Parts: sequence; structure tokens; C-alpha cells
Amino acid sequence: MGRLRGTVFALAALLGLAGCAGTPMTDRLIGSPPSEMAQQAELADVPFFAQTEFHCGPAALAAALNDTGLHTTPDEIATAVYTPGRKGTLQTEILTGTRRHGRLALPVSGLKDAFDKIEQGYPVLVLQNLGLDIAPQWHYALLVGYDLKSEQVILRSGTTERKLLDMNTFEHTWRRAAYWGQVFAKPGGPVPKDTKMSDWLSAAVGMQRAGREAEAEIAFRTAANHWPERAAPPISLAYLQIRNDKLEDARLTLEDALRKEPDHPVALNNLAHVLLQQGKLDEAEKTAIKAVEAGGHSADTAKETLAEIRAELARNPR
Amino acid sequence: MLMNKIKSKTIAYTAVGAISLASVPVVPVHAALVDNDRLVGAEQTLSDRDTVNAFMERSDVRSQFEALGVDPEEAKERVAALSDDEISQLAERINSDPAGQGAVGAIVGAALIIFIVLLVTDLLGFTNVFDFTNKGAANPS
Repeated sequence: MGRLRGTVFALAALLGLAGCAGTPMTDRLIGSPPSEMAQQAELADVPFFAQTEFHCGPAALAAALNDTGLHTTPDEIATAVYTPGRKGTLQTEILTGTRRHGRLALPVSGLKDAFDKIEQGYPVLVLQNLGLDIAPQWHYALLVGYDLKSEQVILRSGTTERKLLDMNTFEHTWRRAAYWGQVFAKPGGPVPKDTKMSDWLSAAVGMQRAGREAEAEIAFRTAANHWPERAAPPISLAYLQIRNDKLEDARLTLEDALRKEPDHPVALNNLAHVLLQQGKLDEAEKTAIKAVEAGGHSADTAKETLAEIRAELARNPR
Repeated sequence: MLMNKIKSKTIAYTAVGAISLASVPVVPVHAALVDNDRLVGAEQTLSDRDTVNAFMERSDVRSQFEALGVDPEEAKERVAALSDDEISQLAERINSDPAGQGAVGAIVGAALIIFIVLLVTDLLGFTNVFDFTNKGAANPS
């Protein structure tokens, strides 16, 4: 009898715990809806692929990528993202799969941000824990709509093209997955509203790493247009130019970067390097000295660059 | 006869040498250039030890993917697309990180008590494991 009571109490505690975190994001949106947000939005044209066993990742990602104009299928995506030994798709593989297909995956930060993105026309690929923390059921779905009045969200999920789910239930399943969600952009843009430059550039460098250099270059140029006052986009572009031996192009691009942020340590270091390669040793030395003075995380590299230049100067006395 | 032996040995050694070189991390040609990974990556001062560690971790993760049934060429490409930070994390957690699979799965073969708990939490709206407990109607498609 005592054991049964203990079990019941444990169960009650567990059930209480399951819901005790509440749904603050939903409550906030329903309780005080942001004035600039539409009451409801739905992206009816987002494609749908019914998932096959364990393949919700490929199904969701294929649909999201098709929505950006790529023509692909869950089977094709599965070779890149599905891990047989885990009977599923890891979150890092959603990201690498996206990079390898020449698209940028950009993180969302909560329910309001997700709905904003939907309003702008971007479906959100979400990870959900449909179960409990102690008995998880991981699942990827595509969030394509919301309705603040009926307090529901609309998902492409599993084998259901248009799955309606209570907004607070969605929040519970999403919270257990640490609110992981991504929207997808083309290298040429547009850049979704409220995107952080660091997120865009990380995704662009991801494409470079994945062997999609042409797309990375386009994405760097898009960033340069979108954040015209920042040096990082032209610096990223210049790196590709250096790698492709376009030294004069790189020099001009880096000088452009320094007009935007005159003391940027990386721009200074890399420009010094380019000038060295071009044989402009005096200019290279001056720039490398500035790079060392600028400090930052690449200070050690700047010292190396300066040493290389001085060694070259010693070999070529004026 | 002797010449042939010398020739084939030379070829063999050259081949072995080439293969060894191919598996050693290539020292970047532009050692004093700050690459894009460092530009956008976590703000850390990298040391030579970090570079060697990163290389070994990449090798490790590649083997782990292969052990999990991923085709070797495919594993190579997946690892190439990951940043050093992502590799570090994956090296530790590739077997425990969430792997999205779908709406049905864990409940099959789950203990009866878990099944019952999930049923109740589904009805209360905290979880969404079963289709028939869905309060929001799924439009027939």
C-alpha cells in the first residue's frame, strides 16, 4: 500500500514537473500581442514531403530547401544528413547538409522571432522533443503558420501536411529541445529582417568550408551590401581572393574594409600579408606594425607577419 | 634483375611516402594569414597544439561516423563542413546528442509506466507523442 502511494506521488510530481515550466512565450504573445505582429499567418506554398521511418530530418530539410528554390528530395538529402547508427538526424548534420547544398541556415531565438520569420515568408525548421526529458522523442518539423486567436501553430510534420497543434503544447515540446530552430536563405539574399551579421557570416563561411566557394563569395557580397559599415564582410571576401591568387583585388577589398573600420586587426594583418606577396615591403612593414598595435585575438599572427616582412627586408636591402 | 628490384623498391617507397604525406595535416601556405574560420569563429587565440588537436578530433569524428554506418566518402565530406568548435562538441556527444527521427518510436517497446505517463502528459498538453490525443485537429490532407 505504501509503495503504491509512493508511486502515485512520484507520478504526480513527474506530471507536475512536465508542465511546471509553463509556457511563458505563448502567454506573452497571447496576453500582450505585439502591435506590429499579424494575428495569424500561414505559408501555404511551402512544399511537403511525408516522412518515411526515422527520416523526419531529411523530409523537413528537403521541404525547406525546395522552398528556397532548390530541387531536391528527402532521399537525396538523407545521404548527407541521416546517421543510420543513431536512427535519426543530428542537428549538426542539418547544418552541414544545408551548407553543402549552398544555402545559409540562420538560427531563430524564440517563439516571437519564429512567428516574425513566418510573417516575412520563411518557414522554420524546428527540433522538438515530443516526449519528456526522461523519455525523449526527438522530431524535426517545419513550422509554417500560427494563429494568435485560436492559439495554435501549423506544422508540416511526419505524414501530416497541415498539422494544427496547440501553441502551448508546441512551446513545451520546443522548450525541451532548447528552442532550436533554423530559417534558410539564399546566398544572394534577401537577408531576413533582424539577422545578426555574425550568424550570416558564420553560415557563409560554413558554405566555404563545405566546398561551396562560389556561393560563399556571393553571400559575403550580400553581407557587404547589407552591413555597409562593417569590415568583416569585405575581409571574408578578400580571404577568398587571396586564396585564388587575386592579390590586387584582395588589396583593394582590404583597403575598403579599413575605410569602414580603420583599426580592424584582421584587415591590417591580411593587408600586410598581401603587400608582402606583392613585394611592396615598406608599405607592408608599416601596415604590419599597425596590425601588431591593433592587438586583438590575432595579435600573435600579426607579430609573425611583421617578422616575415622584416626577414624579407633583410634579404633585400635598399 | 637488380635494376628492376631497385626500381620497384623506389616506386614502393615513393608511394608509401606520398600516402604518409597525404595523411599529415598540410601546413597552410599562408601561415600568417587570418582565415575566415578564425574571423567568424569563437574568439580564441589559437596555438599550434590547437591545430594538431583539431586535426585529430576531425579524424576521430570521421571514424565515429563510419562506425555509425555512414559511408566513408560521405563521412569525410560531413566532417569537412564542420567548424573546429562543432567538431570538438561532436567528438564528445555524437552518441548522445538528439537525433530527430519522428513522431513514433520511443513509445514502441517503452516500459508500461512510461507509456501511461506519456498518455497522461499528452492529454494534459505537455507532450505530443500520440496522434489521437491531439487537441488541435489535423486537417485531412
